[in-house]
Amino acid sequence: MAFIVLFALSPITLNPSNASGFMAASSANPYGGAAIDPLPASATIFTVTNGKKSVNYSKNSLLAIKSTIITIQEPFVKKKQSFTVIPLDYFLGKSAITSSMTIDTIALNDYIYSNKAGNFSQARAYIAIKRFGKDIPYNEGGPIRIVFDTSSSWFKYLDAWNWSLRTIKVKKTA
Amino acid sequence: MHGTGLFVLLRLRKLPNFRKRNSELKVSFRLNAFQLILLFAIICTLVFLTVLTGDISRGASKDVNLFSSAELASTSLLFAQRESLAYTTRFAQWVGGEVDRRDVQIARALLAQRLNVITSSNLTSGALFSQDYFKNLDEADKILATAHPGILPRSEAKTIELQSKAFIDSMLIETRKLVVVYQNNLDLVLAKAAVDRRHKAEQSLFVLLLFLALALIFFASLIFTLVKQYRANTKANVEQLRLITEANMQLSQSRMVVDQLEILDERKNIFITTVNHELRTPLTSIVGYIEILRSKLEGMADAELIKIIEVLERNSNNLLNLVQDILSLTNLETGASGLLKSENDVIEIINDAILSLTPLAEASHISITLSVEDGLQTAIHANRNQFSEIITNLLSNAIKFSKDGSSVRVHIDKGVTNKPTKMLRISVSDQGIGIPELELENVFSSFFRASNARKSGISGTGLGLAIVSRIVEEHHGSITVESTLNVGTTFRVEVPIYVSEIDEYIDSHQIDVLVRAIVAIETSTISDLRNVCHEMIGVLGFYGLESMGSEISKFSTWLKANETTEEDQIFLRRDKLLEVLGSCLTQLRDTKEI
Repeated sequence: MAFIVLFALSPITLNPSNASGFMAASSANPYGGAAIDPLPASATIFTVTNGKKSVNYSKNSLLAIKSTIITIQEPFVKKKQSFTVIPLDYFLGKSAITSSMTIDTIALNDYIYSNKAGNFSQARAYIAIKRFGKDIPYNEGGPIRIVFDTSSSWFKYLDAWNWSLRTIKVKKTA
Repeated sequence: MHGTGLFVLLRLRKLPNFRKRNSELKVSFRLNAFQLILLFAIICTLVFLTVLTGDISRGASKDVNLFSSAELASTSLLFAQRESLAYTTRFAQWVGGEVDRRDVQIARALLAQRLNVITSSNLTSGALFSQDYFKNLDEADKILATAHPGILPRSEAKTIELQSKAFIDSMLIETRKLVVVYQNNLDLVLAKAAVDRRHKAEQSLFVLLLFLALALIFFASLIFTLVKQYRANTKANVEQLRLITEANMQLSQSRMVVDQLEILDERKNIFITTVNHELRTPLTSIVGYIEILRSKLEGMADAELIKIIEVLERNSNNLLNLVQDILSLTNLETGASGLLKSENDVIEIINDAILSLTPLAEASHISITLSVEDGLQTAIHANRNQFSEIITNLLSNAIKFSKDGSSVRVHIDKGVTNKPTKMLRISVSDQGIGIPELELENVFSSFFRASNARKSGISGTGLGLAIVSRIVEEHHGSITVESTLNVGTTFRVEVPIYVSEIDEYIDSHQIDVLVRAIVAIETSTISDLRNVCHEMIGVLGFYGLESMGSEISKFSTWLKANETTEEDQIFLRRDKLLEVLGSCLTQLRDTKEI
């Protein structure tokens, strides 16, 4: 509590509303960063690699995969959001990644979270491709991200919620 | 002897009541008010200590959570710094022509995403950055928005490099500042948590010391109380020992008194016997002379003289009876009666007694009847004179207390007392005045006379039933009384029947003999079976088991007539015989056990 108070009273405190002057009017994120030069719909946005074999997914190919919608309390912005999701198991199966293999989930900013594929499956990990039926903006974790259902054991384990995901790769064993 | 026992009892009643004193000395332990308060304080302290310890434990967890929260905030901050540096680097690379504009835009978008994350303080990560930081971002966004898409052309690069130099420097400075601020804040939080922990630890230590102090006082108080009680108990034990010694002395004295009384009792009996002898001899002589005198005066007309002689005779007889009763009782008590028992027929004894008492009964028009249960063995093992005294006493009492014209009934049947010996029961019933229920228990005491007998003026010494009771005891028998006031009284005497030595022997061997017969018949071969049966018929007859002998005889006769029959038939017939013998054996065992 004291920590929170100290931070609140810090001289560098700034509310998002104070920064609204420089925000892009079209962005839902008050900290801007919405404008991105567009890519063609067929361009690869997600790659799954198992050894030498890689499977590339474009926006179009992802939309062609059977998906479902889940509604969760998004833990980073702490708001209820509906995501169009594809189970991670689908991609693991397509690339013949077994549960005993350790996989790296790599974001566009090179953030990496690693764990066994089986653990991801057990935690019922999803790849979210849309939010509220629309593309997920880059400044809000898009274009694709890993999410977990409220009932998942990893729902509160935020390290695994890799956003702006670009690659899943089987980790080489030593 | 009874008097002596009573005297000793009276003396013992004066002894100290040890049972009561022992209960008073029972070791008991109770906490006093001070100790109870102390105990309550100890329990309270213990509870407080437990709560405090729990609080410290929870506090430690809370500290960890706090640290975790700080870590979460710091993680977010560090990620934001990372994204900020990544963006600045990408921007610099773009200006240098190494990456295209889209890469920078993505880095900017990821930075925005990170700044928008809500931390544990419920503020966005961006809230931790300064206004200058956001001004720089705003400047950079403008440059980026107006620049050529893709790789920055050389023509624009120089201008943008100049425009963005200040921005890049400023971004790096702002980002570094955050690290310092974060460290300072974290230090403050941790220092406060440490102070809190120390404060709680001090509180806990104080309560622990208080608990120890209270416990020490409590135990000291307990020890003090126990020592005090021990001293009190020791004192009481000494007092108890003194009382026991005193009681032992009194007991010794009482024993001496008892011994002396026993000697006196013996002397009394000798005295009574002597006096009785001395009284009985002249009294017998007086009675005899009175009878002679009366016979000589018979026929003379002096009625007054005859009346005087009759009074003399009656009183002399009463006196003689009293002396004889006292003598009998004394002899019975001292065991001087020298009881010699033999086989006697109880019917003969009763008939003699009835005969001797008939004049007395006839005088009051009272009839005496005797009935005997059919097939009853009436021989008893008794001293004839003494048993006669039992019957005479009971009959004379019955006549004495019966109304004129009523009847006295004597009945003999099987005894009902549960004893191994067979008993004979003699019941003497009258239709007299009866005995009050409350006085029934005293009828066999010496010199006891029922209140209604005394009131009605019927003479008696109160020794008759006491003598009867002692004689019955001497004969290993029992006597009971049943009475209803103004209806009548029944005395029941049970005595063992006479058993000769041979009968006793036979009786005790009947079971063995029957078992032997059963085993012999069961185990013999068909060829020996007839011989065995013949032997057994004689043996069983000798031991009074004639009926079983007869059964075997029937079987033997059948066997002779059916010599050629099949073995199975013989065995079947033999088994039936064994069944009969077995049944008899069971009955015999049951009878003997009773």
